[in-house]
Amino acid sequence: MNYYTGIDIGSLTGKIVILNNKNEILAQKVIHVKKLPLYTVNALMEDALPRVGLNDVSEITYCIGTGYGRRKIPLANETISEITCHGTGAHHILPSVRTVIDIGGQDCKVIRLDTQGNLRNFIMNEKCAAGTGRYLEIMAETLGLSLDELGTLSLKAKNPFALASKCSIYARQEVMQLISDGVKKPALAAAINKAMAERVVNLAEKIGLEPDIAISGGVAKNMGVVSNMGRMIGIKFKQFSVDPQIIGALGAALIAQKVYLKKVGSEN
Amino acid sequence: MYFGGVDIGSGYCKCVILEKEEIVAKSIAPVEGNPQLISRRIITEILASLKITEKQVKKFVSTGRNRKKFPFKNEEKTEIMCIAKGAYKLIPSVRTIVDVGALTNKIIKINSEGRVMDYIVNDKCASGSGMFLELVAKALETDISDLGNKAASSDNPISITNQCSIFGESEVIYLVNEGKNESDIAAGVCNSIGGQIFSLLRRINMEEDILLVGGVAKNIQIQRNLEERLNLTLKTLPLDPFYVAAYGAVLYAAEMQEGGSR
Repeated sequence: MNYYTGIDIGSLTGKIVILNNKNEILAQKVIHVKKLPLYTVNALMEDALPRVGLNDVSEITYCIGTGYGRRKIPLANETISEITCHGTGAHHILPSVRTVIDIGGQDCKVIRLDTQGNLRNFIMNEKCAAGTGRYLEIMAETLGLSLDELGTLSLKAKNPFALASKCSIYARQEVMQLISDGVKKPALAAAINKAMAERVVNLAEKIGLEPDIAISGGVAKNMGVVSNMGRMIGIKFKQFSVDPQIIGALGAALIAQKVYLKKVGSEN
Repeated sequence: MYFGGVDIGSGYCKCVILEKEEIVAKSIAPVEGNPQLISRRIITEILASLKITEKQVKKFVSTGRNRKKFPFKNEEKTEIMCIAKGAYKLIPSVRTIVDVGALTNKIIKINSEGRVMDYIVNDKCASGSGMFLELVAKALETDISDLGNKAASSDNPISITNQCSIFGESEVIYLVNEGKNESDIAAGVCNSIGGQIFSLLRRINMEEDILLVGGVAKNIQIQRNLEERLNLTLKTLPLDPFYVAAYGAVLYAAEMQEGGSR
């Protein structure tokens, strides 16, 4: 039995996927990052290895690291960019997908794929926290809500108003003022999710959106943001049959298998 | 006869009371998302300390991003006007004023009569602002007022790659976790803010003398870094740089009274 492993160390969460020869997911896990990437990797391993019946990392057949912290994964045989991994993972689950919008903790990527799942083009915001998961995290904290509550609560407000600020820090200041002015939390949550959706859609429209479109990353679970994005683009997004947060790690594991088989093939 | 100048920014509320052209009291408090409450409290306290009532203050002038929230009867002036007014009165040779506030950076050019000739405001993004410094101080578990000294003691500043204050904060936390020297991190942060002020300055036809005002002006490393980039010496204020806009506001208040009500 072979164990192909993908590890995606993002800025807010670490993800692992272990696949067998038949591309079946044997183990998957998403955790909040630890102080250092190495600690995150160790925690992921401690969780995943027993679940696939392994005792030691050396029993892993091939491992690919991806994500912002990918260079800090000692057991990775090689590292590959998140763009490639997300494209590969998304195409595997949804072959009809031509555009993947990945909203991570500290960045946002829009990835265009061809019919074979190859990368055609991409655009990325990693310069500004607005339009990334970090924005939502800051706003949830300001409202005293969890990220889940921020998503669900906003669905109660019908017509979200527009926040004046784009910058996360300005928006936090604005929201604090609105709270003291007596604006209710569902209305604020809706305005925040709308602002978030606008930033992502603006980025995506710069490289064009070809259907089918799917959203990966943690923010894909926030229905407030997703429904606003759908309305702005005028489309219904495809849903991944797996946790949208593991798409990058899944892609890494799939590539691990491909690379390993090629290596073994060339050796024989 | 008393006059009041209040500068209600996004970070701090600053108040100056003038009597016979002299500052008789000044006070500052963080806004904490509630400018009405804080500005009311600060005025109440400062009046109590002077043992005077609100009625004895002939006129209040308010300024700053949150000036509309000032709960007492007042006239309003923009920050640009008040900063120019205050800075010119304090140092008449000043031609370019750099104001680094909690959220907004401004460059104001004035002429030899103190009139505003031009200005640039970065009010879309909090990069290079005082808020970044505040986030970093928190991450380094240092008081913001010590950050400059801490930074100035570094021989080996670590360059900070993120401009966004939020991402910069994460970068700093990461560097701390990696065990990097805190003075080196602080120096990198101050130099980064210096760089962002400098690039804003380059967008205006700057003229000497140049003066740094606002809370961030107290940070010695930012001051030094900016001086190095500009290859000149910045002017030193005879007043706490936090109060320049509030001082300008109170000067307007006194002027309005002299020239009859407006």
